[in-house]
Amino acid sequence: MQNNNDKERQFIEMLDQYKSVIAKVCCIYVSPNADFDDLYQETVINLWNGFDKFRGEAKISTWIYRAAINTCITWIRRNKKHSNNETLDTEMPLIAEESSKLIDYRRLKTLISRLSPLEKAIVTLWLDEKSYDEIATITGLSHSNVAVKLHRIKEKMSKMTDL
Amino acid sequence: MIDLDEIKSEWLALKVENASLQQKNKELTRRLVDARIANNQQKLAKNYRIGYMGLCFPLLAWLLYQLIHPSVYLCIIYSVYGIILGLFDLWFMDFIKKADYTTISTINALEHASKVVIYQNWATIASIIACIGVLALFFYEMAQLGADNIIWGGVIGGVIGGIIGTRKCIDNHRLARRMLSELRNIEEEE
Repeated sequence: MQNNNDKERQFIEMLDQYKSVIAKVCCIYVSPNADFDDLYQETVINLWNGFDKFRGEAKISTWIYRAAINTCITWIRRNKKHSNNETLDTEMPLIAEESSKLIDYRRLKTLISRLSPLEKAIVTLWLDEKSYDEIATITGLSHSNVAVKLHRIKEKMSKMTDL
Repeated sequence: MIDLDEIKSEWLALKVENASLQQKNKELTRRLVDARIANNQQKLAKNYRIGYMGLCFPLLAWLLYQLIHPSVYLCIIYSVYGIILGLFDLWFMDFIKKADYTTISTINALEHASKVVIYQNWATIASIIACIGVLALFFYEMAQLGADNIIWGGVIGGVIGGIIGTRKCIDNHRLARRMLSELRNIEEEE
Protein backbone atom coordinates (compact mmCIF):
# COMPACT_ATOMS: atom_id res chain seq x y z
CA MET A 1 0.00 0.00 0.00
CA GLN A 2 1.34 3.38 -0.98
CA ASN A 3 2.51 5.67 1.71
CA ASN A 4 0.07 8.60 1.89
CA ASN A 5 2.80 11.18 1.39
CA ASP A 6 4.02 9.40 -1.75
CA LYS A 7 0.50 9.15 -3.06
CA GLU A 8 -0.12 12.83 -2.40
CA ARG A 9 3.10 13.84 -4.13
CA GLN A 10 2.48 11.62 -7.15
CA PHE A 11 -1.11 12.79 -7.41
CA ILE A 12 -0.14 16.46 -7.34
CA GLU A 13 2.56 15.84 -9.96
CA MET A 14 0.00 14.14 -12.18
CA LEU A 15 -2.51 16.95 -11.71
CA ASP A 16 0.06 19.60 -12.51
CA GLN A 17 1.10 17.75 -15.64
CA TYR A 18 -2.46 17.34 -16.90
CA LYS A 19 -4.14 20.41 -15.43
CA SER A 20 -4.68 21.93 -18.86
CA VAL A 21 -6.60 18.83 -19.99
CA ILE A 22 -8.89 18.96 -16.96
CA ALA A 23 -9.29 22.73 -17.19
CA LYS A 24 -10.19 22.69 -20.90
CA VAL A 25 -12.78 19.95 -20.46
CA CYS A 26 -14.33 21.76 -17.49
CA CYS A 27 -14.41 25.01 -19.44
CA ILE A 28 -16.40 23.34 -22.22
CA TYR A 29 -19.08 22.25 -19.75
CA VAL A 30 -19.24 25.44 -17.68
CA SER A 31 -22.80 26.75 -17.56
CA PRO A 32 -24.98 28.84 -15.23
CA ASN A 33 -25.60 25.69 -13.15
CA ALA A 34 -22.09 24.29 -13.32
CA ASP A 35 -19.29 26.64 -12.49
CA PHE A 36 -15.66 25.92 -13.29
CA ASP A 37 -14.56 25.47 -9.68
CA ASP A 38 -17.28 22.90 -8.96
CA LEU A 39 -16.50 20.86 -12.08
CA TYR A 40 -12.74 21.03 -11.51
CA GLN A 41 -13.05 20.00 -7.86
CA GLU A 42 -15.44 17.16 -8.68
CA THR A 43 -13.05 15.86 -11.37
CA VAL A 44 -10.06 15.98 -9.02
CA ILE A 45 -11.99 14.07 -6.34
CA ASN A 46 -12.96 11.36 -8.87
CA LEU A 47 -9.34 11.09 -10.00
CA TRP A 48 -8.18 10.76 -6.40
CA ASN A 49 -10.76 8.05 -5.72
CA GLY A 50 -9.62 6.11 -8.80
CA PHE A 51 -5.89 6.79 -8.36
CA ASP A 52 -5.04 3.63 -6.43
CA LYS A 53 -6.97 1.47 -8.88
CA PHE A 54 -5.29 2.90 -11.99
CA ARG A 55 -2.88 0.24 -13.18
CA GLY A 56 -1.75 1.79 -16.44
CA GLU A 57 -3.95 -0.40 -18.64
CA ALA A 58 -4.86 2.75 -20.55
CA LYS A 59 -2.77 5.83 -21.30
CA ILE A 60 -2.87 8.22 -18.39
CA SER A 61 -4.19 11.02 -20.61
CA THR A 62 -7.06 8.74 -21.73
CA TRP A 63 -7.84 7.96 -18.11
CA ILE A 64 -7.87 11.66 -17.20
CA TYR A 65 -9.97 12.71 -20.20
CA ARG A 66 -12.46 9.99 -19.38
CA ALA A 67 -12.70 11.06 -15.73
CA ALA A 68 -13.07 14.75 -16.61
CA ILE A 69 -15.68 14.22 -19.32
CA ASN A 70 -17.69 11.72 -17.28
CA THR A 71 -17.64 14.00 -14.26
CA CYS A 72 -18.79 17.06 -16.20
CA ILE A 73 -21.43 15.19 -18.17
CA THR A 74 -22.96 13.51 -15.13
CA TRP A 75 -22.86 16.81 -13.19
CA ILE A 76 -24.82 18.45 -16.00
CA ARG A 77 -27.20 15.47 -16.10
CA ARG A 78 -27.99 15.65 -12.38
CA ASN A 79 -28.27 19.44 -12.26
CA LYS A 80 -30.41 19.62 -15.35
CA LYS A 81 -31.56 23.21 -15.24
CA HIS A 82 -28.79 24.33 -17.52
CA SER A 83 -29.78 26.45 -20.46
CA ASN A 84 -28.04 26.90 -23.78
CA ASN A 85 -27.90 30.64 -23.31
CA GLU A 86 -24.52 30.74 -21.69
CA THR A 87 -22.89 33.97 -20.83
CA LEU A 88 -19.56 34.68 -22.36
CA ASP A 89 -18.54 36.29 -19.10
CA THR A 90 -18.27 33.02 -17.15
CA GLU A 91 -14.91 33.19 -15.53
CA MET A 92 -12.49 30.52 -16.65
CA PRO A 93 -8.79 30.24 -16.11
CA LEU A 94 -7.86 30.17 -19.77
CA ILE A 95 -5.80 32.81 -21.37
CA ALA A 96 -4.91 33.28 -24.97
CA GLU A 97 -1.77 34.79 -26.25
CA GLU A 98 -3.53 37.37 -28.37
CA SER A 99 -6.92 39.00 -27.92
CA SER A 100 -8.07 37.88 -31.41
CA LYS A 101 -7.53 34.25 -30.40
CA LEU A 102 -9.56 34.87 -27.24
CA ILE A 103 -12.42 36.16 -29.38
CA ASP A 104 -12.31 33.04 -31.56
CA TYR A 105 -12.18 30.90 -28.45
CA ARG A 106 -15.31 32.62 -27.10
CA ARG A 107 -17.07 32.08 -30.44
CA LEU A 108 -16.09 28.44 -30.36
CA LYS A 109 -17.27 28.12 -26.76
CA THR A 110 -20.64 29.59 -27.66
CA LEU A 111 -20.99 27.24 -30.64
CA ILE A 112 -20.08 24.25 -28.52
CA SER A 113 -22.61 25.27 -25.86
CA ARG A 114 -25.34 24.48 -28.41
CA LEU A 115 -24.27 20.85 -28.68
CA SER A 116 -25.52 17.97 -26.54
CA PRO A 117 -23.27 16.81 -23.66
CA LEU A 118 -22.04 13.81 -25.65
CA GLU A 119 -21.36 15.92 -28.74
CA LYS A 120 -19.37 18.34 -26.58
CA ALA A 121 -17.25 15.41 -25.38
CA ILE A 122 -16.55 14.25 -28.92
CA VAL A 123 -15.68 17.68 -30.25
CA THR A 124 -13.44 18.47 -27.26
CA LEU A 125 -11.46 15.28 -27.83
CA TRP A 126 -11.20 16.06 -31.54
CA LEU A 127 -9.99 19.60 -30.83
CA ASP A 128 -7.28 18.09 -28.60
CA GLU A 129 -6.19 15.91 -31.56
CA LYS A 130 -7.31 12.61 -30.14
CA SER A 131 -7.58 9.82 -32.72
CA TYR A 132 -10.94 8.28 -33.55
CA ASP A 133 -9.85 5.16 -31.69
CA GLU A 134 -9.08 7.14 -28.55
CA ILE A 135 -12.38 9.02 -28.81
CA ALA A 136 -14.16 5.68 -29.20
CA THR A 137 -12.35 4.22 -26.15
CA ILE A 138 -13.24 7.18 -23.95
CA THR A 139 -16.83 7.62 -25.05
CA GLY A 140 -17.76 3.96 -25.52
CA LEU A 141 -18.90 4.54 -29.11
CA SER A 142 -17.62 2.48 -32.02
CA HIS A 143 -14.94 3.88 -34.33
CA SER A 144 -17.41 4.27 -37.20
CA ASN A 145 -20.00 5.95 -34.98
CA VAL A 146 -17.38 8.47 -33.82
CA ALA A 147 -16.58 9.30 -37.47
CA VAL A 148 -20.24 9.75 -38.34
CA LYS A 149 -20.98 11.82 -35.26
CA LEU A 150 -17.96 14.05 -35.73
CA HIS A 151 -18.91 14.69 -39.32
CA ARG A 152 -22.45 15.65 -38.24
CA ILE A 153 -21.15 17.85 -35.43
CA LYS A 154 -18.83 19.72 -37.79
CA GLU A 155 -21.67 20.24 -40.26
CA LYS A 156 -23.95 21.41 -37.48
CA MET A 157 -21.36 23.87 -36.19
CA SER A 158 -20.53 25.17 -39.65
CA LYS A 159 -24.17 25.92 -40.30
CA MET A 160 -24.73 27.75 -37.05
CA THR A 161 -25.37 31.39 -37.79
CA ASP A 162 -22.91 33.94 -36.53
CA LEU A 163 -23.43 35.20 -32.97
CA MET B 1 -18.95 30.32 -41.96
CA ILE B 2 -16.53 29.13 -39.37
CA ASP B 3 -13.39 27.26 -40.31
CA LEU B 4 -13.17 24.53 -37.68
CA ASP B 5 -9.67 23.42 -38.61
CA GLU B 6 -8.42 26.96 -38.03
CA ILE B 7 -10.24 27.08 -34.69
CA LYS B 8 -8.60 23.79 -33.80
CA SER B 9 -5.09 25.18 -34.08
CA GLU B 10 -6.09 28.18 -31.98
CA TRP B 11 -7.69 25.88 -29.39
CA LEU B 12 -4.40 24.00 -29.13
CA ALA B 13 -2.53 27.27 -28.67
CA LEU B 14 -4.66 28.35 -25.71
CA LYS B 15 -2.86 28.21 -22.40
CA VAL B 16 -4.19 27.66 -18.93
CA GLU B 17 -3.39 29.90 -16.01
CA ASN B 18 -0.68 27.85 -14.30
CA ALA B 19 -0.22 29.47 -10.92
CA SER B 20 -3.85 29.46 -9.77
CA LEU B 21 -4.44 25.87 -10.92
CA GLN B 22 -1.26 24.63 -9.26
CA GLN B 23 -2.36 26.23 -6.01
CA LYS B 24 -5.84 24.75 -6.40
CA ASN B 25 -4.34 21.30 -7.03
CA LYS B 26 -2.30 21.47 -3.82
CA GLU B 27 -5.25 22.64 -1.72
CA LEU B 28 -7.66 20.06 -3.12
CA THR B 29 -5.19 17.23 -2.65
CA ARG B 30 -4.54 18.26 0.95
CA ARG B 31 -8.26 18.25 1.65
CA LEU B 32 -8.60 14.85 -0.02
CA VAL B 33 -5.77 13.39 2.07
CA ASP B 34 -7.50 14.75 5.19
CA ALA B 35 -10.82 13.32 3.88
CA ARG B 36 -12.44 16.75 4.17
CA ILE B 37 -14.24 16.71 0.82
CA ALA B 38 -16.46 14.27 -1.02
CA ASN B 39 -17.83 14.24 -4.55
CA ASN B 40 -21.52 14.48 -5.44
CA GLN B 41 -21.73 10.74 -5.92
CA GLN B 42 -20.54 10.11 -2.36
CA LYS B 43 -22.80 12.82 -0.93
CA LEU B 44 -25.83 11.42 -2.76
CA ALA B 45 -25.05 7.88 -1.64
CA LYS B 46 -24.77 9.06 2.00
CA ASN B 47 -28.39 10.30 1.86
CA TYR B 48 -29.47 6.68 1.54
CA ARG B 49 -27.77 5.53 4.74
CA ILE B 50 -31.16 6.32 6.22
CA GLY B 51 -32.04 2.84 4.98
CA TYR B 52 -30.57 1.54 8.25
CA MET B 53 -33.41 3.41 9.99
CA GLY B 54 -35.94 1.53 7.88
CA LEU B 55 -34.57 -1.74 9.20
CA CYS B 56 -35.41 -0.48 12.72
CA PHE B 57 -39.11 -0.09 11.93
CA PRO B 58 -40.06 -3.42 13.57
CA LEU B 59 -38.60 -2.04 16.82
CA LEU B 60 -40.51 1.22 16.35
CA ALA B 61 -43.68 -0.74 15.65
CA TRP B 62 -43.19 -2.65 18.89
CA LEU B 63 -42.76 0.66 20.80
CA LEU B 64 -45.88 2.07 19.12
CA TYR B 65 -47.77 -1.02 20.17
CA GLN B 66 -46.65 -0.58 23.79
CA LEU B 67 -47.64 3.14 23.84
CA ILE B 68 -50.90 3.55 21.94
CA HIS B 69 -51.98 -0.06 21.28
CA PRO B 70 -52.76 -0.01 17.56
CA SER B 71 -53.73 -3.27 15.94
CA VAL B 72 -51.10 -5.98 15.37
CA TYR B 73 -52.03 -5.78 11.68
CA LEU B 74 -50.95 -2.11 11.55
CA CYS B 75 -47.68 -2.88 13.33
CA ILE B 76 -46.86 -5.64 10.85
CA ILE B 77 -47.63 -3.42 7.83
CA TYR B 78 -45.55 -0.61 9.33
CA SER B 79 -42.61 -2.99 9.91
CA VAL B 80 -42.78 -4.47 6.41
CA TYR B 81 -42.95 -0.97 4.89
CA GLY B 82 -39.82 0.08 6.80
CA ILE B 83 -37.86 -3.07 5.94
CA ILE B 84 -38.65 -2.88 2.22
CA LEU B 85 -37.75 0.80 1.99
CA GLY B 86 -34.66 0.27 4.12
CA LEU B 87 -33.39 -2.56 1.91
CA PHE B 88 -34.04 -0.53 -1.22
CA ASP B 89 -32.17 2.48 0.19
CA LEU B 90 -29.14 0.37 1.06
CA TRP B 91 -29.15 -1.29 -2.37
CA PHE B 92 -29.47 2.12 -4.03
CA MET B 93 -26.61 3.53 -1.95
CA ASP B 94 -24.43 0.73 -3.30
CA PHE B 95 -25.68 1.28 -6.86
CA ILE B 96 -24.79 4.97 -6.73
CA LYS B 97 -21.32 4.34 -5.27
CA LYS B 98 -20.24 1.52 -7.57
CA ALA B 99 -19.89 3.55 -10.80
CA ASP B 100 -16.24 4.52 -11.15
CA TYR B 101 -16.19 7.46 -13.55
CA THR B 102 -12.50 7.03 -14.21
CA THR B 103 -12.93 3.59 -15.78
CA ILE B 104 -16.38 3.40 -17.39
CA SER B 105 -17.10 4.88 -20.82
CA THR B 106 -19.00 8.16 -21.23
CA ILE B 107 -22.05 6.33 -22.57
CA ASN B 108 -22.12 4.10 -19.48
CA ALA B 109 -21.59 7.09 -17.20
CA LEU B 110 -24.55 8.87 -18.79
CA GLU B 111 -26.66 5.74 -18.50
CA HIS B 112 -25.74 5.33 -14.83
CA ALA B 113 -26.52 8.98 -14.06
CA SER B 114 -29.90 8.72 -15.79
CA LYS B 115 -30.75 5.49 -13.98
CA VAL B 116 -29.92 7.11 -10.64
CA VAL B 117 -32.47 9.83 -11.35
CA ILE B 118 -35.10 7.37 -12.59
CA TYR B 119 -34.70 4.98 -9.63
CA GLN B 120 -34.77 7.92 -7.22
CA ASN B 121 -38.05 9.06 -8.68
CA TRP B 122 -39.61 5.59 -8.76
CA ALA B 123 -38.58 5.02 -5.18
CA THR B 124 -39.98 8.36 -4.10
CA ILE B 125 -43.30 7.77 -5.85
CA ALA B 126 -43.59 4.19 -4.57
CA SER B 127 -42.71 5.21 -1.01
CA ILE B 128 -45.26 8.05 -1.11
CA ILE B 129 -47.98 5.66 -2.28
CA ALA B 130 -47.02 3.04 0.29
CA CYS B 131 -46.77 5.69 2.99
CA ILE B 132 -50.27 6.91 2.13
CA GLY B 133 -51.55 3.35 2.57
CA VAL B 134 -49.84 2.94 5.94
CA LEU B 135 -50.96 6.39 7.09
CA ALA B 136 -54.54 5.75 5.94
CA LEU B 137 -54.63 2.65 8.13
CA PHE B 138 -53.06 4.55 11.01
CA PHE B 139 -55.58 7.38 10.76
CA TYR B 140 -58.43 4.91 10.49
CA GLU B 141 -57.35 3.44 13.80
CA MET B 142 -56.95 6.95 15.29
CA ALA B 143 -60.50 7.68 14.15
CA GLN B 144 -61.66 4.60 16.03
CA LEU B 145 -60.01 6.14 19.10
CA GLY B 146 -61.63 9.55 18.42
CA ALA B 147 -58.42 11.53 17.67
CA ASP B 148 -59.93 13.81 14.95
CA ASN B 149 -57.27 16.52 15.04
CA ILE B 150 -54.53 14.07 14.21
CA ILE B 151 -56.53 12.77 11.31
CA TRP B 152 -57.36 16.12 9.68
CA GLY B 153 -53.83 17.46 10.11
CA GLY B 154 -52.36 14.35 8.58
CA VAL B 155 -54.75 14.22 5.62
CA ILE B 156 -54.23 17.85 4.62
CA GLY B 157 -50.44 17.67 5.01
CA GLY B 158 -50.26 14.40 3.16
CA VAL B 159 -52.31 15.56 0.19
CA ILE B 160 -50.41 18.82 -0.29
CA GLY B 161 -47.00 17.22 0.18
CA GLY B 162 -47.89 14.30 -2.03
CA ILE B 163 -49.02 16.49 -4.92
CA ILE B 164 -45.95 18.73 -4.83
CA GLY B 165 -43.51 15.86 -4.43
CA THR B 166 -45.12 13.67 -7.07
CA ARG B 167 -45.15 16.45 -9.67
CA LYS B 168 -41.46 17.13 -9.14
CA CYS B 169 -40.64 13.45 -9.42
CA ILE B 170 -42.61 13.08 -12.64
CA ASP B 171 -40.73 16.01 -14.21
CA ASN B 172 -37.33 14.61 -13.20
CA HIS B 173 -38.35 11.19 -14.39
CA ARG B 174 -39.35 12.57 -17.80
CA LEU B 175 -35.92 14.22 -18.23
CA ALA B 176 -34.09 11.06 -17.28
CA ARG B 177 -36.23 8.98 -19.67
CA ARG B 178 -35.40 11.37 -22.50
CA MET B 179 -31.69 10.97 -21.81
CA LEU B 180 -31.96 7.18 -21.74
CA SER B 181 -33.83 7.18 -25.03
CA GLU B 182 -31.08 9.34 -26.61
CA LEU B 183 -28.55 6.79 -25.38
CA ARG B 184 -30.58 3.94 -26.91
CA ASN B 185 -30.66 5.82 -30.25
CA ILE B 186 -26.88 6.02 -30.11
CA GLU B 187 -26.67 2.24 -29.54
CA GLU B 188 -29.02 1.63 -32.50
CA GLU B 189 -26.80 3.74 -34.75
CA GLU B 190 -23.81 1.48 -33.94
